Formats: sequence, C-alpha cells, structure tokens
Amino acid sequence: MINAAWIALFSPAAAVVLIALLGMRIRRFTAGLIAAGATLVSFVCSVIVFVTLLGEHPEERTHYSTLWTWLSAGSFKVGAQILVDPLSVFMMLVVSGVGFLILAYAVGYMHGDEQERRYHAYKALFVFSMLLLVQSGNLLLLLAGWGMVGLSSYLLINFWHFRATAVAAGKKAFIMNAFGDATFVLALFLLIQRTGSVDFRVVFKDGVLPHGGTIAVLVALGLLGGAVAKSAQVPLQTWLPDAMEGPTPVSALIHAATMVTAGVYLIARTNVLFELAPVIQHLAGVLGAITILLAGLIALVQTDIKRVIAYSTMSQIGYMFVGVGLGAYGAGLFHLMTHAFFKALLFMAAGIVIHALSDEQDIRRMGGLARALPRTYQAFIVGALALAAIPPFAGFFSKDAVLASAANAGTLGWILWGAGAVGAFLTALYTFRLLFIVFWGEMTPFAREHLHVRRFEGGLAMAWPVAVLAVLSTIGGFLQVPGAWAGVTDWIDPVAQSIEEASGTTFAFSLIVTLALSVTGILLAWRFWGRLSPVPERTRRRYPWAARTLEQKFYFDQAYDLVFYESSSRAGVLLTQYVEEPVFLRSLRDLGLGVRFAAGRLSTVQSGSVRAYALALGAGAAVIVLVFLLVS
Amino acid sequence: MTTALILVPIGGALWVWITPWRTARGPGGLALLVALAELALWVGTTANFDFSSSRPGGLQFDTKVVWFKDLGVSYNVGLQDFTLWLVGLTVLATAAAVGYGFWVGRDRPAAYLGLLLFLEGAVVGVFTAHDLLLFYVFWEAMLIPLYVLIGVWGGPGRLGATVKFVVYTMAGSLLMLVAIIAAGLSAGSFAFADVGGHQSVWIFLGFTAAFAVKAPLWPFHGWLPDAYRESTPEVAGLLSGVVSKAAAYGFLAIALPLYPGALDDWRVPILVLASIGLVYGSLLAFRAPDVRGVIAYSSLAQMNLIVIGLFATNASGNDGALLQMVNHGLISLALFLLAGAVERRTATGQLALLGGMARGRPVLATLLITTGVIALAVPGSTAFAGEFLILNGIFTVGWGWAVVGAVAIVLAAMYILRLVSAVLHLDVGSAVPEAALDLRPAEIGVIVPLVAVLLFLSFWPAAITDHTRFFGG
Repeated sequence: MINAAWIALFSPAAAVVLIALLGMRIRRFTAGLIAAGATLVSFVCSVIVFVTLLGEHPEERTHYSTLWTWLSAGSFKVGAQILVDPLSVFMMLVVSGVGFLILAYAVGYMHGDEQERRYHAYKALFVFSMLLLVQSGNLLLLLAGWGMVGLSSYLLINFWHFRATAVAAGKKAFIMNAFGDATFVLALFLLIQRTGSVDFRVVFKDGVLPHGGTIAVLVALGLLGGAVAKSAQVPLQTWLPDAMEGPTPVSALIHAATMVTAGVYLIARTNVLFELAPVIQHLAGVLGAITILLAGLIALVQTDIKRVIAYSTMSQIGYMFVGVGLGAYGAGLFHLMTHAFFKALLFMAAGIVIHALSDEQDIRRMGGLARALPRTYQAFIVGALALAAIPPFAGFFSKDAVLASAANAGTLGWILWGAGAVGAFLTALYTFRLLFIVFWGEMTPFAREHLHVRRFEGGLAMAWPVAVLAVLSTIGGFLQVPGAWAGVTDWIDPVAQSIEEASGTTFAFSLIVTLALSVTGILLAWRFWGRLSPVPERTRRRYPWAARTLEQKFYFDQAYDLVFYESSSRAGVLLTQYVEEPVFLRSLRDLGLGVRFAAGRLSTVQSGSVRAYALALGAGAAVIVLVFLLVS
Repeated sequence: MTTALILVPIGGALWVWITPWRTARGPGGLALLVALAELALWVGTTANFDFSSSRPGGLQFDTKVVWFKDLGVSYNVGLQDFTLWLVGLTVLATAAAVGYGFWVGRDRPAAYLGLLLFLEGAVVGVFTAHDLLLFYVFWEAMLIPLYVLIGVWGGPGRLGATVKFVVYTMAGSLLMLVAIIAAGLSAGSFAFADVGGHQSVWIFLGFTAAFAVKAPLWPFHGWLPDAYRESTPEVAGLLSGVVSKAAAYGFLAIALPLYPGALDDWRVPILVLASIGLVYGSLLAFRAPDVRGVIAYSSLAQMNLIVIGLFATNASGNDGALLQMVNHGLISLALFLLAGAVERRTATGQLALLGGMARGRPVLATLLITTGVIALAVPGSTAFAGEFLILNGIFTVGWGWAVVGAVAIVLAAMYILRLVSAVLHLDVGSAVPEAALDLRPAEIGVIVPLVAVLLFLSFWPAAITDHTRFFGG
C-alpha cells in the first residue's frame, strides 16, 4: 500500500523528466498523453491506498514511510518521508482525480499551441508538487511541495510569456507567495528550536508547546501567513485574479481546484498547533469571512469571465477558512472537495466559451450563447447552482455544513456566520449575473462574428471531463447529508477531530436563512441581468465612488505596489546612486587619482639639476644630524 | 593523493605553457584533458574517503614534510570531509570553465587555459593546506593568475578592475600575513593544529580582514562589481563561484575554530555587516541594469548569507553554509556562463536591450529558468536546503538575524525573476538578432553538468550535509 503511495507521488515527476528529455522527438499530443496518463496512475494508486485504508481500523490508518535522509545537520534529520492517513488520502484523491480530468481536458484545450510540450511538463510538475505537499510526512517537505506548487503556478501563469500582463502576474503570484513562504519558514525555525524536529509525530505531540503561549501564537501565525498567501485570502489575496493570465485549464486546476486550497489543508493538517493558539485559529476564520465579503463585492463589477470565477474562488476558500478556523475541519475539507468539482467545472465550461469566441474573455462582448453552446450552458448551470448552494447540488451540502458549524460556535461563530450568509447572497448574485450576461439575451455583434463551435462544443477531449465534473458537482454533496451520515467528517476525524459540528435547530435555522438568501440573490440577478434592466447602470452612476472602489479592488494593489515594490525599487536605486557609486566604486579611483596627483607634484623634484639635489642632500643630512643631537 | 590533487593542475599548466603548440586546438584539448583528469582524481579520492571515521578536524590522505625546521613550517596537506566538497566544487567548476574557454577560443589559448589550471591548483592548495605559511603561499598564488586573467583578457574597463581587485586583495592579504607571522612565531609552529586557542583579537582580525575582502563581506566589496563585469564569463564565474569560497573556507577552518574568544566579541559586529550586505546586495541586484550586475550583487548577498551561517557556529549554520558554498559556486558559474552565452549573441548585457530570448531557444530558456529558480532558493531546491539550515542555525543565536534572512528570501525572488523575465520573456529586445541561435552543444556540454549536480543535490542535499561533521555532530 505504501508503495502505491510512493508511485502516486513519483509518477508525475517521471512524466516531467520524460517530456523534458524527449523534447521535440515526441508529438505535442503525446506529451499531453504522458502527463495525463501519469496523473491517472497517481489517481489509481490513490484509490488503491484509499481502499486499503478503508479496510483498516480507523485508529490505525496512519502509516509513515521514509526512503532516504533528505537533509541533516548534526542531530537534526529530515527524511524524504511520506505519510498515508485519512487526510492525506482524501487530498490525494481530490488532487489526482480532478487533476487527471483537467489534464485530459488540457490535451484538447492546448491543442495547436506551439509550446504545448512545455505546458504539459509544467502541469505534471504541478501535480507532483501538489502531491508532495499533501503526502509529506514532515513540515519541511510539506514546505518543499508548498514552494514547488508556487513555482509551477508561476511557470504556468507566465506560460504565454510574450504578454507583459502574464509576466507581471506570474511575478506577483510568486513574490506574494514567497512572502508566505518566509513566515512559514520562520514558524519552522521556532518549532525546531523548541522540539528539535519538523516531523509531524514529534511536533504534534501533546505538551511540546505551551497552550496559548507566545511561542504557540507565533508558530501558528507564521503558518497562517503561508496559508493566507497560498490561498489568496485577505490581506495577501491580490495575486489570484491576475493569475487568470494563465491558460484556462491552469486556472481550473491550480487556481481553483487544488493549489489555492492548500492553505485549508495546512490548517487542517497542523490543527494541533492551531488549537494551541486559538487566537490565531480564529484569526484564520475572521480573515476568511472578510475575504468572503470582499471578493463577493468585487466580483459584482468584474467584466472578465475568468476573473469573476477567480473572485468566487477566493470567497469560497473564505468559507473553508471559516470552517477550519472554527475547528470544523470536516466541513471545511468537505467544501474543499465539492468546490474542486464545481469550480473546475465552471472554469472548464468558461474555457469552452473562450475558445468558441476566439479567446475573448470580456463578458460585455458575449451574450446569447445558450443557443450556440447548449451543453456548455447546461454544464455552466450545474456549476452555478452548485456554487450558489442550491439543493441538491454539491455546494449546498458543503457550504451549509460550514455555516451550520459556525452558527454553533458562540459569538464569534455567529459573526462569521453572518458574513457567510451575506456571502451566500452575493455569491448567488454575481454567479447568476455572469450566467445571464454570457448565456442569455441577444448575441453581441462581436460574438456573432467570432463564434465558431466545434463538434461536442470544444471537441470530445474537452467535453467528457466537463461531463464527469458536472455529474460530480451534482451528486458529490451526498457524501455528507445532515442528519443522515457524515462521510467526510467521520473519515477525517482521526486526524483532525472537528471541534464544532452542526446540531439540529441551529442547523435548520442556518439552512433556511442561507437558502433564502441564495434564492433571493438568483432572483435579483435575474431581475437585473436576466432581462435588460437599467437598475445596475443607474446604481453605478448614483454611487460612482462605490463602483470605483470595487473596480479598483479596494486599492490593495496600489497600496502594495507603493509599500513593497516601490520601496524596494526606490531603495535599490538610491543605494546605487548615493552609496554604491560614490562610496565603493569611485572611492578607490579617487584615491588613485589623489596618489597620482601627489606623485605628479613630487616628480617635479626630480628636475635633473645637480644643485637642487645637493641642496636637498645637505638639508637632509642637517636634519638627521640635528635630530641625532637632540635625541642623544 | 592530496598532493596529486594540487600538482596535477599546476603540472598541467606548466605542460600547456611550455609545449610549442602548432595547432590552435592543441592547448585547449590538453587543458581540458588535465581538468577532466583532475575531476576523475577527485572522484577516486571521494570514493576512497572514509566518512564514517572522520573525526572533527581529522585529516585523510595527508602528507607532512618539514619545510623550515627552526620556524616550525612544514608542507602539510590533507583532506577533511568538508574540504572534500569544496575541492569537488573547484575541480568541477574549473573543468567547466576550461571547456568553455576552449570552445569560445580565447586569444593565446595556451597562456589563458594554463592560468585557469594554475588557479585551480592554487585553490585546491588553499583548501587542503594545514600549515599557515603554506596556506598563505597558496592564497597569494591564487592572486597571480586572476590578476593576469582579468587584466589581459578582460573587457574594456579591465585595467581599473584589475587595479581595484589587486589593491583590495593585497591590503587584506598583508594584514593576514602579519597575523600569520604573529600566530606562528608565538606558537613556535605554523601547523593549524598548533596555533590558536588563545585570545588574540588582533590575529583574528588580521585573518578576518583577508577573508572579508575576498568573500567579500560588506563593505569590503568595492572591487567586486567591476571585476565580475570586466572578466570573461568563465573567470567571473570562477571568481565568484570558487575563489570567494576560499575566503568562506578561511573563516570556517581558521578564524572561527582557532580564535573562539575573539569570535565571541566580534560575532555581533560581523553579523551586522553580513546582514547589511545580504539586504544591500539583494536591493542592488534588484535594480542593476545589466545581467552581470544582477549576478554580481546577488553573489555579494549570497556570500554574506554564507558568512551569517558560518558565524552561527553551530551544526545547522555551518552545514548550511557549506552546502550553500557548493550551491552558490555552481549556480554562480552557471549563471555567468549563461550570461556569457547571452552576451555572445547580443553583444550586450543591458537588460533594457534584451528580452524575448525564450522563443525558439528552448535549451537556453530551460537552463536559465532552472538555474534561476534554484538560485532564488525555491523550497525544495538545494539552495533552499542550504539557506534553511543557515537561517535555522542563526535563529538559535538570535531570531532577528533570521528575520533579515527571511526578508532576503523575498528579495531574491524579486531580483531573479526580474532577470529571467528581462532576458527570456516579453517582447524581443532590440539587441537580440532574429538569427541568434539556441545554446550550442559545447555550451550545453559545460552548463548542463553544473545544473545536473544542482538538481541531484536538490534531490539529496544530505549527500553533503550527511557526509560532513562539524562540532562532532
């Protein structure tokens, strides 16, 4: 079983090496098959591991395996070590399963791109890194996977590197994540200082850190910094919308289904450390709640189809943060899973739309596409309903699991619940705004001119993964039905025992209110955008400052540019101008010039005049004699 | 064995110099053969090295011949576990540099390549000498070939660069010579094993001066930008990749272990300088207008980071510093050779004139991106492993130093990505000819081994740290 886990990990890495070494000797299509095939191997292995674990007693489902010593210093040793337990297997299934579907879709989507091989290699590199992240048995290798998913994300955002926007977006994503890596690293140093190890078995042991102490708070804060950066939560959220510069399958896999949820995984995985610092754990929930509202509001004014979905991703991860921040790990991870299904579905449906309109992403140039792309439209409806948490679609069960748990968690829980409920309304509103604008109404002249629909609306390679995800988004929620069974929570409990769980009355209350809000959101969206209505435009004109604030994304970008980029850049320039150049580079030259000048003056002494020499000689001798007399 | 490691390149250099070559390819072929033989010799030495028994400071393959009996000077050379890795870096890097210089076809190839081999012998001597006076001889011997290599084969500003380099280095070296004489005479012997131990701050500072200039520690880096910009790429690569490690080695093998008392007093000032240098170099690298400038200042930052690790004086800091010395040596040489490849094709290194070189040049792009992401220490890379250990080591000394280091992690991402994008991405630069080729087989042949070793070390950084013992670990 443990061998299967190792194979699951290294199969995509082998694909990277293979594609890189074969280079131009294979067809582009073959490169795609290698990457997707390797991911399928990972998925099959994950299933094998999962089935094996199912057969074991819940308390015995933890297996560590170390192949070699990765790093050492004195007595500090870190193994190339994986952990198989319910949580890691859960993530392996999501990553390799959804990953396989998206890689298969990408074979169709990227067909004809001249850099296709490079694309597939990067994609496989990502799957490897993500599996390393979720399978690692210690925090250092987890961080290695953590950094490498950031690297693959950079490479893929940057994929069309002749576009200035793509290059800037890639750098931004990488650097913001590097900031998260830095706080993560500092937390590890503190842990190592206290426990001498990064091994889960050591650092999660009871009593290694005092509960609620400064150390515990700092460790949790450092980890939270990493989680917030990776999961694009406030205040490190600004890179994610820009990351939409990458090809659409990348957005689906990395910036929706898997990588951006790594922060949720991290908090669930290190729940022991977060529970030692409840302040920080609650902070995670609060940041999640803020992100829900902030992203929901910004999504209302976005005009790029992928950016709307990106903001919805941020806000949905906000729900997951609320869940794990309040200790409802099962609910948070359940939402992670269903979100992976329906968000990948939405992105892939959006990708078909973008392809059909010659790579146009501006929704103002779309409209009336329901007739031209009926199946895509249906898939999009499924995704939208799941996202808006309408029963019986998957998002309904998982979002309500999160919100009901929050409603059960005291005052803070109620506040977060309130944010989540408002967020549910906003989610329904912006999601159906998108759906109505893109698929309803009349086709724009642009759409009429550029529309070209392929067989199966995007080709078979792209159609079938969408269909599979549509099915999963429809039925995936039944893994955990309130009052009946709790598949995900029960499965995760041995690793991350949920503190908060929904109970009868609060659950019913929460469910009814949020459902009502979601339906209201959809109806309102229909009222505004389902048929032509002057209301949105009038509102915008009446409150121009509000529209501007939302369109400028609450000015985070400008602030960060000023504080981080501009300050470093300015410091670099100033240091070069006023320190490096004059002090270090010119000083020696000036010294040299001084010496030369002095030597020039001195050389006039060598005039060749014998009388002058004799005079100097005599004067010198006189001085020596004088000194000699004085001293003696 | 150790003596052979020193004599093969020096003998090879003499052979290359005195042979009356008739063909232009002759000296290059011979020099490359010598460099590869030296590499093979190192591999053989490593295979026979006994890592299990090596106690701290324990020498293997050592030779001791009395030189000046009355002064206690002897020819005393040998290998320790950590010097083995530094010698490995030297021989691999020199082989790559000789191969590159051969392929490029420098003027007067016999003189040029012979000097590279001579430099190799001197550096290996520095790493293996266990007598202070012998150490000094090799230390100064490094200067001679560098002086000529920069001054004769360098770029248009080579004379100024050479003068700066020599003045700075000589000033440091002379202070070290005074320290060596004082240390040796007072102990009655110049052997590493006999000198030191007492509390002489001045002797410690004399050594520190030489090492601080050569590393360079901020603010003793005035020679660096010009030297790295004006040299040929392979010489700049050796200078930043290998010769600077001789200074770090000096701290590790001489200044720190022999003068623990002075170290305690001077740790904080030196850490302050190194921390400034780390951030300062990173910021300047972020704004440098040319490819070599970015590499040069990033090199400054990296060397200061290594000094931070050394002055942590614990297993984590020193293991990290050693690993990072090897990493940085390979990264720096690979980056300079790639910079050379770019400059050959575009006749400029100005970032503003470059861009878009990734299109149609997959090998150049792949190698530059791979080296770049390792250089910025992406988690999971060997450079990350090194930086992690260094900062973990210094964290136990004081968490503030580690915070500075963490800031530098972010800055490194900023300057490396800027470099990579400015060369490879965006619109095709005005200096980039359409016909500029991808890397040629010879360039691939010298750069790929360097990158391959980096990837191998990323897979298994413990290959070095597990086979090195500091503090009896």
